[in-house]
Amino acid sequence: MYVHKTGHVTYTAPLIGPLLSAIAERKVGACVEEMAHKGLFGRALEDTFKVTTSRDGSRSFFGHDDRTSSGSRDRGGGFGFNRDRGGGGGGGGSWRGGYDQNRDGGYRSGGRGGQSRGSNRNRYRGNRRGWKKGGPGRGGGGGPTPRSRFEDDEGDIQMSDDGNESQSQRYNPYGRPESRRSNRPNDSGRGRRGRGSGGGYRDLDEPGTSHSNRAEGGDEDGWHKITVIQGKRSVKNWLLSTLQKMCPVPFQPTEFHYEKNHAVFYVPDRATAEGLTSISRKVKTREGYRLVLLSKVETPETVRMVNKTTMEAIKLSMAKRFDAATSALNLSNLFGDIELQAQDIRVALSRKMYMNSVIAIIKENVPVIERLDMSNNRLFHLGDLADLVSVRKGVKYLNLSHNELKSEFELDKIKEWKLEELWLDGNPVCNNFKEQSAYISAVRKRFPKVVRLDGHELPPPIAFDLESNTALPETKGSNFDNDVCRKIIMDFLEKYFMVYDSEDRQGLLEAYHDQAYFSLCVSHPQAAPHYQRKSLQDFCRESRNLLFVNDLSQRVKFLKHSRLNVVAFLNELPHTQHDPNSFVIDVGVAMNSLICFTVSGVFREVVSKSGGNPPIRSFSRVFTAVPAPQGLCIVNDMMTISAASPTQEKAAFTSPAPTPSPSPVPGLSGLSEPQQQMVKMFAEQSGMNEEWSQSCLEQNGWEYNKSAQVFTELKAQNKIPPEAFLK
Amino acid sequence: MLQLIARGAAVCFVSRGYHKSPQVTTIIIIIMAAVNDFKTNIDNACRAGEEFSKVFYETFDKRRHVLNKLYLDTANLVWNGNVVKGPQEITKFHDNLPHSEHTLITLDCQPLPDEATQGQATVLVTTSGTVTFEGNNRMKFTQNFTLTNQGNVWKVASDCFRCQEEE
Repeated sequence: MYVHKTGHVTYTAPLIGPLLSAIAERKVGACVEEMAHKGLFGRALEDTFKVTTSRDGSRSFFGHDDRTSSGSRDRGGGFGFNRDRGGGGGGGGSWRGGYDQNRDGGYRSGGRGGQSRGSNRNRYRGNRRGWKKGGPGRGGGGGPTPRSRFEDDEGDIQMSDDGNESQSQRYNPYGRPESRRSNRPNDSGRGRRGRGSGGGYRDLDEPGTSHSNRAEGGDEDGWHKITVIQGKRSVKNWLLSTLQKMCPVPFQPTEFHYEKNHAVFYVPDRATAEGLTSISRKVKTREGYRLVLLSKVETPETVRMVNKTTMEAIKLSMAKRFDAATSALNLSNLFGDIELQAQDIRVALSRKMYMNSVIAIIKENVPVIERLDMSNNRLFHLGDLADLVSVRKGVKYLNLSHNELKSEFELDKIKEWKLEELWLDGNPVCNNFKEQSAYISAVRKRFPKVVRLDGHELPPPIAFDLESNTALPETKGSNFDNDVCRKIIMDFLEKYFMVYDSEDRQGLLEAYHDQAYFSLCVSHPQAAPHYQRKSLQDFCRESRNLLFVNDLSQRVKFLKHSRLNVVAFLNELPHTQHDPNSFVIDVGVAMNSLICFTVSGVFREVVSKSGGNPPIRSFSRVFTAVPAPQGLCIVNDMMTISAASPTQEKAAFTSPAPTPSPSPVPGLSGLSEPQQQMVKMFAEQSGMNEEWSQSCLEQNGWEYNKSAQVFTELKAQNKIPPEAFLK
Repeated sequence: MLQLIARGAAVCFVSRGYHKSPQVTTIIIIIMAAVNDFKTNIDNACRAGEEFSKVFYETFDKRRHVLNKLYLDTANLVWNGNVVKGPQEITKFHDNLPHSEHTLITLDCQPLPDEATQGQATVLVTTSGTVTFEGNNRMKFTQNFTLTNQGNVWKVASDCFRCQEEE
């Protein structure tokens, strides 16, 4: 409420241009006067006005494209370096200031014919960064009417969640129709609830801003937002544990937060959302209220991506911008990319959705980046880029020049990168330093190894001879202790998984020892992306993860003991199909009396519950076995299951025929001992290689003499190709 | 299963009035002891695994130079397919790894049946989680150990480690 005047002017400017900004300003003045007479808003407006004057400078920014320039400039102080905002009227803290401006800006502009359309969104961008820090500034302005206080409260709740949705989509408890939120001209705006930023978001789709094909954040089966009406009345722990207990589908809430008095969180699929709505009004709180749950399709901001076609287009463009020889990715001015513009795509990297998408493309397609050029992207913070830091550590060169970075503290977010060269010129942050040395020092503090800054050589970094190497030993494929071992294990696995993947696993009884043990663990981190959390519930119920299962009787229960129990349990697990090509085998213990080996790889479930493609899982199984007449007899079997990573999913089941993976002598696998000898002998006598010898023997039903006869005949007719004799 | 048998036996003996016979009482006690043994055995294995995983990963991340004390003289390490044998070689191998940070997601332990180990108490420990080696991307890993009890001290007989890029 308090500072909207300033905000308003700022928004207007980019849209109607610098020439009009003066007019707009005058209008604001008039408006202030007019409103002041009404008394109701008087004091607040006075405050507001003060702020306006004190922050005059902010009006002079003209963001001509719809990226964040104007918004970010205003908010610039938010990173901690503020121009003085002149007192409590500004809503207290700097971040807060930005927020209030925004909301009220929208509110006002609605009342004044929607002049601020288009650029409110910029404001909104700013807000999100601001919400977290909004707390301290609260109440500084003191809303003059209950109404405005009310709005203020709402704002604060929003602020508690950094990665929240756009306000235009958020849950509206009073059923206000969507259309009311648009900035209709001549709408008095008085009765509306300050949804300026919401309107601004919608403005994205305004013709001419080239965002018409922005993503909707997922199909029907994607993320759902669950709202628990009046959920704030219950303690969070109680609420979640009760819901988890009652809900027929196990779920993990994502981004739990409050919106006004409602508890809000996200779940990754429709099945879960339906499970949750099915228990609506069935759960009673301690106070005796019934919990009402609502769900709607909505992707949390933190995971939102652009849609597939846009993604593909960006991917293509990025492929052209990547130089594999130097591992250099040039994302400079991606917004102005001509090819993308031709397709009506504007990639504003300052928006999380686009940055998410770009990072996702990098994760999938660019394993190594050494040089990264992010210049000219109007980045006003590096929080989104920080997501890249943990997954691509090798960046040595970073160009951030000509962005909108205001604070040196932004660099802290990416300081894990051991940069050797950095470009920062053309960022407002550069003007914060009185001396060059302070600037260098600030950079060196984050990146001690930097030797070039903005193209200037720096004195050599302080170094000690304690540098540890960071290279990991090369990863190798399957390791068998010896060939005998390999043969035994491969034979065993082939048979085992043939039965395991069949309809009935009773046949596995043979493979297990009387006193065999089996247990299962589901491995998925709490913070895992949704594809990892999705529907592992079949396995979760029996997961014996000792980090969580603490009770001895539970531990005993989850540990299946004795052959019958183990196989009965395995029979209840979902039907599977393993990909033998994915198998990697490590032999840990190989003794005459005992062998212990690990098989890891992927399998897919044959039946898909959700109706889509059957899910692909990554597994690791540790088998301990003792020798038995027919091969091996399992005494211990430990299974760890997790969702397959995108790379694994891509590679899974790509080789057509399930040929048994690494076999000792290619072509001789699957043959019995006498057959192998026969092949060898035949090869020796005929002079053909083993492969051809084998096929010759096979075609003649393993009759040695007959094969020899056929061979001689064919050879006499010169019908055997020369490659048959290549060894 | 065993518990049921034991209960059945007890009921049977008691109902026939055999319980007064010292021999029968002994049998019952033995059966009960077997049940308890089974649970105790599992409990021991679990606790050994829990303690071990704590000690191992903490030592690995912070005091790797003493890690070799955990390994048996005949220990065997398979690290992403690289085979390393003997504590000295293992120490050398570990020394060359960059600084690490492990986060466990799962832990599971099983005792080996006595038949398989000729009475030598042995426990299998399986872990999974994420690991970051300095200068490298975070990776998912699975690791499994066989631990044997050597005069009140548990030692690692084998150690198998596999990791893969997380994304």
